[in-house]
Amino acid sequence: MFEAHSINTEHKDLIHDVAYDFYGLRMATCSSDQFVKVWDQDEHENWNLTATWKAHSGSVWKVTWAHPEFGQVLATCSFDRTAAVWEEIVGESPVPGERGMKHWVRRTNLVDSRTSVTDVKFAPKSLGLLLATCSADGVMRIYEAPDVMNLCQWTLQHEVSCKLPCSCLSWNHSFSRLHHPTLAVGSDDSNTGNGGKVFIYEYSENSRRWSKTETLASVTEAVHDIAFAPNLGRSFHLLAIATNNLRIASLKPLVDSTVQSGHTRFDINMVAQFEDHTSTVWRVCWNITGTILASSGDDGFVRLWKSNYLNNWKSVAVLKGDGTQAQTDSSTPAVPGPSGGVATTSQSSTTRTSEETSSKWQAPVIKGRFQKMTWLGSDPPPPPIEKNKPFKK
Amino acid sequence: MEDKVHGAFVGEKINKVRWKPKDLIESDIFLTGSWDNETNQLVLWLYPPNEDDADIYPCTIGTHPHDGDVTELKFINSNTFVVSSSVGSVKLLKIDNKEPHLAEFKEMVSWDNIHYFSFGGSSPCTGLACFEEDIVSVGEDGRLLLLTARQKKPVRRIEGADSCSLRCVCFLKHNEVLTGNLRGQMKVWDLKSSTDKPASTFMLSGEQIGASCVMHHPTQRHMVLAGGEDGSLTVWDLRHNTFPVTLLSAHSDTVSELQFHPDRPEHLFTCSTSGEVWHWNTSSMSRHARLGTTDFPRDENPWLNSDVAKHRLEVFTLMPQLHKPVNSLDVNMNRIVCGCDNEAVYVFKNVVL
Amino acid sequence: MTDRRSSNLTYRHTDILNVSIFIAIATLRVRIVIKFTIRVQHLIDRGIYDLCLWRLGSKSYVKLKMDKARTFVIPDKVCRRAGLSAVWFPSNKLAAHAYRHVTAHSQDKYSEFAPCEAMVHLVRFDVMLFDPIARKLINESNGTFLAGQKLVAQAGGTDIRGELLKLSRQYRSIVRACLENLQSEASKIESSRKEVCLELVVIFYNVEFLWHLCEILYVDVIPGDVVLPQIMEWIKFHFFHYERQAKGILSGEYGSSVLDNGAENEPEYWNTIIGLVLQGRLDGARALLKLHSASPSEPFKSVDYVMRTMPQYSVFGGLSLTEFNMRWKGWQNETACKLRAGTFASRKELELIMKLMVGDEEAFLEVKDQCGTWYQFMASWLLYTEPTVKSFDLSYHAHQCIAKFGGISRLKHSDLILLALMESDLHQVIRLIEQTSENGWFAAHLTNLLHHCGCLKILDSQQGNQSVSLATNLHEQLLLNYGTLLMSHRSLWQVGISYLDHCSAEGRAHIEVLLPTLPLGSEARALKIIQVARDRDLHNIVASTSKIMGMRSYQQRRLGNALTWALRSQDAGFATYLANKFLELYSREGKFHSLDLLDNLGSCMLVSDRLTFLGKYCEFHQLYHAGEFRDAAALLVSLLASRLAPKSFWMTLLTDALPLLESNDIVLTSEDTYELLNSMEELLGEGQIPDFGDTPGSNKLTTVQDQSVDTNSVVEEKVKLIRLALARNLARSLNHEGCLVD
Repeated sequence: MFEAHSINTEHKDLIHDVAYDFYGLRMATCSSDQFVKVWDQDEHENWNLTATWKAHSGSVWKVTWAHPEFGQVLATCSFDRTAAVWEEIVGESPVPGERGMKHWVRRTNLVDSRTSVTDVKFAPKSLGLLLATCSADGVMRIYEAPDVMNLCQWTLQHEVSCKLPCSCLSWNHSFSRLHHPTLAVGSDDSNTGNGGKVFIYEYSENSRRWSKTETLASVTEAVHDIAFAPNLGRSFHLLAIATNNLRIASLKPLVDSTVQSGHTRFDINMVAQFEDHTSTVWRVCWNITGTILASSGDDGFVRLWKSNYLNNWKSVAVLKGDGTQAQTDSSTPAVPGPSGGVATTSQSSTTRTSEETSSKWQAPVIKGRFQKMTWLGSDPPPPPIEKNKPFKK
Repeated sequence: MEDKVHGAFVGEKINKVRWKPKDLIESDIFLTGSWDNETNQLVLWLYPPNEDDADIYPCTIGTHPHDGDVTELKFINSNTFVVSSSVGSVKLLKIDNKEPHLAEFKEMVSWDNIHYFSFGGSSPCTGLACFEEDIVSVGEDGRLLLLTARQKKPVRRIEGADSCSLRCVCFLKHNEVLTGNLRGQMKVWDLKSSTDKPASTFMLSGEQIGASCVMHHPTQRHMVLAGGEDGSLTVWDLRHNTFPVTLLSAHSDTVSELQFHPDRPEHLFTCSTSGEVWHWNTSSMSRHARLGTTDFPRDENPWLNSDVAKHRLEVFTLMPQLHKPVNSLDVNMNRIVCGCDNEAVYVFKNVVL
Repeated sequence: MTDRRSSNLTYRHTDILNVSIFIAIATLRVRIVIKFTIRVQHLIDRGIYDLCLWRLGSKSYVKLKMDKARTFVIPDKVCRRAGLSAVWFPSNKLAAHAYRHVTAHSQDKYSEFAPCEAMVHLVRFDVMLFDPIARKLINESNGTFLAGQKLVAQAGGTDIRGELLKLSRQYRSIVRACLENLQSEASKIESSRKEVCLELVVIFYNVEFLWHLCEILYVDVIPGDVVLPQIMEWIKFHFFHYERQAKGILSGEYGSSVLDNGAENEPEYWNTIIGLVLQGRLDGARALLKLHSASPSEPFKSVDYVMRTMPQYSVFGGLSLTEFNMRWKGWQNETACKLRAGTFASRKELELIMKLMVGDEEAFLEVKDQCGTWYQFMASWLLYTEPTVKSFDLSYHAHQCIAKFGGISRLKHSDLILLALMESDLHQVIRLIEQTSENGWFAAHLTNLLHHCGCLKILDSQQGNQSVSLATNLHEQLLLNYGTLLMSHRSLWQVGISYLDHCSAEGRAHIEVLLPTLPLGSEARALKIIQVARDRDLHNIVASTSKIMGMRSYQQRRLGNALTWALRSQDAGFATYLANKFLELYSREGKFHSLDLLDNLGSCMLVSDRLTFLGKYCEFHQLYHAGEFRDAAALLVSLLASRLAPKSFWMTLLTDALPLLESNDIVLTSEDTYELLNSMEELLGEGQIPDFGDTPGSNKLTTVQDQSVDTNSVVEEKVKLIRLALARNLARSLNHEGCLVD
């Protein structure tokens, strides 16, 4: 069973990106209305808007949080060809016990790109305070704040040209001392003749630069989103690719001591390819343990994918956006449990009760701008039939 | 040992547990305060001292919701207690035990938002100490407040008593209070003096070991025992407080609570976040003193004699080491109750004294 | 593995996922009024099939869903038109919102949907196990789990089956205690909470039911593998309807007139007796029979005799299996003879009972409905046909009985689990148990217990060569899932960690990822989280969490507390930064903040040079105020000489030296004075005097022209004064030292 909690963000247009801080207690949303909004969850699990400001002079594409070790820091990127880093300042509490006003100040504006900046991501904290951006002109830039306490000073450390317009990038957060820092960049160039659209870059300590180590040649369609899965004990990395369909690639580092260049070569396999969305897949996102993947497609569905312990992937749930208010369903009522004392016969099965109970829709309870709804989802109901009698043994 | 311990799972992590005091007889009611839940509560339990029936378990006779975590509980008389919270408030509540199996809580005074951060909302109140009707409260904001049960307005407020979070406090005399902070810095405050400066300070140890609990000896109030974050127990004679009299590396992790037996001060009970509950018995040393077999003065507190203390202390563990922290314990006559993070309370009956 | 075949419909396993096939089953010809589902296990677990049967008019439809994905609808008007996108956030929650992808090449303008209500929907799984009453189960079973792990770790090679059996019983009693609590709660309240409690009761009742059988067949080592007595106990424990009725009749609940006239007038009388006989409760049956008005008469006495003399197998009976079988067969033959002789012909009911007791198949078919379920039937059947049946023969009998009860297609989920238990198909058992609704508690703990008993080793042999033991893999996976689920609860994270601790392959990695994401809350909670990390040697998490606490204090402008945390995390950079902040404040305000902290830094000041300077500088002030001018002076000079002081602070130090230079006693030696002079020249030589400005992170540099009049005359004055004082003191000290030499 799912439980849902809806928040009206009051953005004037569709939301482009939602990002959560490390703990899941703060949320940042950005939209085509050029605003960024920050929400905080309080002790009673209500979300309150604590800041809203016009961040850019164009649509804000992506927003991302830095690791809390660096403080309360956000980065945004926008159509207006800039990326910005923001830090939160808390004002004095007017009344003891209440939090003071929070506002966000722009610490730096990264204006090196000549085209729209399509993605911005912070690097794993072990690399320091590093930020990677990629833009539509195919350039991936990595900035660093040498003094992590001074967010006003950022230097452009590396500028890498990917030759094809870039749409997304993803850091590999799970790397050990044995492997170099890795970054994947995807291109949304629609010309399949231009080769593979996913590039893996690696940083070499010796040469102190980022260089392309692999290109996924099998992915030739436009790539809209990529995401490395958090690696908790696997010997290989998983990369989810949102392209004309959903693909999951496994990258197994080859331990080859004869490789002089210092690069890691990967053994790349497509472990899964799903056409379920039957259309372009736009976004992919892994959960924190890297076990469930959420993919969003043009068919308007969000699908959740999980692999079992034999590494077979399959869809475990589907989310659908629907505007209609569902009417109560006249299917079988819940299987009656034992009344009073302990059941003399084990009547109901031990499956999830939502399988056998009807899909109940409850009217949303509106509390101010928050709506809390509970529903028991089910498949589209079977063709209407006469009322079923309760299951009796 | 097992028949002397009764454990009950209560469905919430217990941060503080206290026996409800009863004059002259053994108490059969205890109060628990929970933490780390969305809504925490204070629960009153009845546990009659029935020797024959092994199946009697503590049962709930009253509950009261609590905002934030319960960080400290202290009874000031037989049916009134103060409770402090992680949202920076202290409340005085009264228990109405009309029927034996039904009790009600009534809020008498509530001191709200007495601990707060100037730039950042409310601060947890981390410790309470009571002396008759005076209550001293300390919090993470480094403030020390003197409250009294009779009035809503705090009697005295010492801002910036400490630049770090204060973690524990105890009364030494009616107007003297000892506080310990996150760095293990202890300060003695004279509440009669008008300056907001401590009368003296000392460090628990050379390293930054935070003070987790502090308690004075019931009869000799210049003797203070402090528990540290590393499980160490230090004994101080406040008359000469440059160095501790004794330093015992006792538990393997933070000492969460230490209690002297109020009537038999040669018995000390400690519990730790490594799941240990220990009974320290110094009565053999006192006995030896009476027999004149050792060479320290008879009325000297055995704790204060650094040499002998190391060799003649008897320590008993009251139960096998628990896999979760034991947060609190309380002693009443022959019974001890402790509350733990495995969402259980354990009552030890017939503790040998 | 067996292929499931029902008598009514057949189907093929295919590898096509996500295809819904509607099969109009003309061949079905079964009018089924009820809707039911069965689950079908694929050979290599490629997918779970749902078979749903509906009646539509005169035809029945079967929908064969090859995938198990359930659809959840999010009510959002914009979503329907635009599309949906979702993002994960800790712990295992989704935020979904309406989304329409725009590429960089499109125009930057409002979308076609603006203005619209941009909603974000936070979706999370409802975990039944976190219900306040079920929660007690979590902690109590955690204790049992850890006791089991400890037992196995310390056992070495010794046989611990007995102890494991105790643990199994403990688990079951925990579940039963939970059931009691749930039922008492349900009886006290009304509202929707009651429904929830009752649902949980059903779920946990089944858990205990299945666990019990599993214990009998796998955990308990029964001598000679004669499982039937235990199975009868299992049945008797869970199905006590007849016993209750018998008690009612015996205690005269149904009116004393019945007793006077003979209990046979009680409508349920014979049914009750038959029920008791089927469960092997012969004492009860005999007691009831005695209540019959005709009980002293012949057929009754024979029946009583038969019942009384039925051999009951007991491990401690002293009889070997063969002996017992002989006796039992003898008894049955005797009874059969009596039947054939027509001893019981006068009483139809007694005859039926006797027929049952000799294992007459027709008689059993007659009372089939009274048995309730196929396993009760099977137990009764075996009691009177094969009382020493071995566990591995149960499978055969189970299938026979299932067939009598309508076949496999009518089996419910728990029936399938029972069947799998009897077939020793542990893989199947675990697969099925994973689908129960208590969020993995059952699967994790039962598999753990079976793992300790060594029962899962057969899974490995079935799977052939696998580099990683399948059993260990599965066992760990279940514990991992359960532990991760608990980590998502704000309070039960400690319990979750204790499960992850025991997953040798991936547990530590999971802890490393999940532990830091626990919200820190109050310092007390943060300290507990740090303790957990420290106990597991996760020092990077200790340092990181301490740094985060420090940053939090810093954002709250509590420098002292921030420094305390910075020192705990041993973060030199952060400590330096904070030390600089303290110095800045001092420069601005002329006094130190958090003096109680700075005066007592101790050896921790060594983590950062700047902090060491700060600490020593405070010490200097302490010494000065205490009147120890010589020591203060020595310290001041050493600070300058060792270059520990930042250049920006030299001016301040030199200014501090002024009163010392001008004091009546000679506090600074000539050496010291030379040192100070050096520093002064160095500072001036650079042509500028850095100033600890107000703006953080910037160094305003003020140039000083030695001879200029207009700029920074104050600084200039100071320089003059210091130079003068230095010169004077130099003269004095040289003089004094010269005298000393003489």
